Amino acid sequence: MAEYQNIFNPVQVRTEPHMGVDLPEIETPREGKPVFIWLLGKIGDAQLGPIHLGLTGIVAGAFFAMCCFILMMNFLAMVDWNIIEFVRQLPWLAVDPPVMDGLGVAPMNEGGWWQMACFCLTISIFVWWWHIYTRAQSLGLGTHMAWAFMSAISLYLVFFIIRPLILGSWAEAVPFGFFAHLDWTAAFSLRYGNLYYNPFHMLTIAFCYGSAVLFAMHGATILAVSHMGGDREVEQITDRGTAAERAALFWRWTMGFNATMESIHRWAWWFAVLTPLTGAIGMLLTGTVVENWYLWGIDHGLVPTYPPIADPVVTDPLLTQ
Amino acid sequence: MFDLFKKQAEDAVSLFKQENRDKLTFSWTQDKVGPTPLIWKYGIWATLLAVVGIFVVYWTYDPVNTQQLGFRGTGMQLMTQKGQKAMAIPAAAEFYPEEGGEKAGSMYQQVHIPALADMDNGTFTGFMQQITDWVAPTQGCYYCHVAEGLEFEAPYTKIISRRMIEMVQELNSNPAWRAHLVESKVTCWTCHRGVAIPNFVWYQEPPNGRTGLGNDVGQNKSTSPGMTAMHRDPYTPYIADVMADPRAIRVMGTTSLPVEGTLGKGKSLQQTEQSYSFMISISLGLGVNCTHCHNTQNFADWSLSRPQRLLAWEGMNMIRDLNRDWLSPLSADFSAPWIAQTNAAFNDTFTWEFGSDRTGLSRLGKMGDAPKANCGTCHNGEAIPLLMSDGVTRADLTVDFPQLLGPPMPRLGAQ
Repeated sequence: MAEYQNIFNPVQVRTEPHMGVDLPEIETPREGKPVFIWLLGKIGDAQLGPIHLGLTGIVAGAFFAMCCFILMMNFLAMVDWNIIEFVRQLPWLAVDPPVMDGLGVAPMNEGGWWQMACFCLTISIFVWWWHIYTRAQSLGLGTHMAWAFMSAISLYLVFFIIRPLILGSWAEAVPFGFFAHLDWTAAFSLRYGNLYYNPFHMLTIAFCYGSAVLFAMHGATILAVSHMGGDREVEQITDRGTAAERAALFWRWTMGFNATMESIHRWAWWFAVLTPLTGAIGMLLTGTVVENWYLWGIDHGLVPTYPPIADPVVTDPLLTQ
Repeated sequence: MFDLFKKQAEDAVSLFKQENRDKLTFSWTQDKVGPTPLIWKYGIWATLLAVVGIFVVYWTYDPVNTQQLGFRGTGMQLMTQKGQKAMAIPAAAEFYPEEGGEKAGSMYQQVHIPALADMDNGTFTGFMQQITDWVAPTQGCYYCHVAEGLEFEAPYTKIISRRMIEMVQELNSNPAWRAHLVESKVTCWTCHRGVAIPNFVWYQEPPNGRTGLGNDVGQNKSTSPGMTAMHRDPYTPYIADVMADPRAIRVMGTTSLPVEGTLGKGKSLQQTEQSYSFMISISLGLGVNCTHCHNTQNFADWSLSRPQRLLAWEGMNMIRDLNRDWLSPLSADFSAPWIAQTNAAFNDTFTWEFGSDRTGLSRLGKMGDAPKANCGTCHNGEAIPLLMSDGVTRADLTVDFPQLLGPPMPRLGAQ
């Protein structure tokens, strides 16, 4: 345990970089000559690299680069290849999905580039998922990280592919662009009658904010007991010491219940995983099973009613004509 | 004895250093061991504090008046800027009516508008001066007249001015527009505010002209209303002409569950963005936020809305009529061959900016269309034009010139 890492520890050890365990012969070697960066050492390990890309990493990277290349070329063409305008307009620039009925292949400049970028991105994401999975297996880890990543992928798939397939129109999909995808999100809520009345949207918010609270609670707890060895969480799981005892007692005495050195990580994992997963379920239902969440909420007693805002109550002028 | 131990220890360290020299001097950061430099120790905290401080000061400096409009908790508020004042209205032009004097219609040629032709000479010249103050204060009389004679039907601005005076008469006299204008009167100043082209005008957006790649689908540039990448021209479908489907702007689902057979056939998200973009333009034009009219609990529901939404709906009917019958038909006059000369003479050029609607000296948009009105054209960022939150009352500018009150005029579009 020579590698004691703590942000308050001013000592940085410099020695020969750790190149990692030997790889099987069929594996491509790890890439890059490691360097030590003093500032990195202030927030983590000072050693940067080597990195193991392997076949999966290279394929995923290539498809991701292709997706970025398609988008950047389109962005540049939109500003007539003017670099200054490209920088100035970048937040607004976007490649939109095809505005057409049906699910066919669109002409390149009428959404075809969006389809191609989406294809490359999807391939890239799944190959990278496989990369994560095999890296975990090679290191003898559980595959928790891969499945957590899959939870995020599920939300992407619902937005970009599954919903458009169900509704029979690529126009339902998200544009690739900084402001554009935010506008899309707002329009999505407006179109389907206020997403805040979608119970799964409520859940995803609860899990998202809950994740932040849990992370803060856990991080604070461990930092608070690290001078008693509490940051050696793995040891504390099997051989509970005074750090674990005090941390547990703190929470038992303040809120009656305490997690354990092991269970807190399951809490954190499930909160994080359920954030995009419940979101994906809620979005999957939107427009397919439920047309207007506000009206759905009224049907199910979810919507508060307020005193009339105007006297007389405003009525639709198109109905009175 | 101690010295011996010390020497042995030093030798051991020295030997270790020699043996491990390569490893110990591996990194360029070798020199940076030791205590944290003060610049980092305090500099980082000072920078963080400064950044936080700037945000705190920015947000606690509160230039906003907030007034509750709806039930508590619904977030319905009218937000206005503290100390915002109406633009100073130019002093009324001095003029000397001549009771029973000669009529403008017989003194001057080419006075087409009956109400103007019926003015006595003193009133007429005063009126001309007032228009100049309102619309072309820096350019002067020759912005709309030529030195050869006042009766010449040139430059093009004279023709436009005539139509604009008739449009103001129409607005002030047609009972159909009382639903929106209520007690308000409209004058040149309402829109122009001292500039020849009102601050809020819109043009049609040309269709995508880029082949191969780079189709921005009429969106995705900084020229769209507000800080969005939505439609740059959300106006054409809604306020350029009578809408074939008056419900085109309504995008929200109307049933809680999809009706059988309509799955995926409702309003698209692109139509939603168009409607949304148009609503943002109303907000910008009126200097209000969404909750001026809507309860965001459900934007579509009229029973949750404030009566202002009805006013806005009537306003859309009015602006649609103005654009179709009064402003769009002006494109022929704007495109007269001497338009560039006239504008150049007054150095009234438009610099070509990226995404700009206009090119060069022309008043026309990229589609060859005349500048058209939206809500902001009259409102100029004021919920009630010329009536501001600080209580400055709206000046009724038609008192001096009741000729602006009517009668209704024939429309170009109807001819």
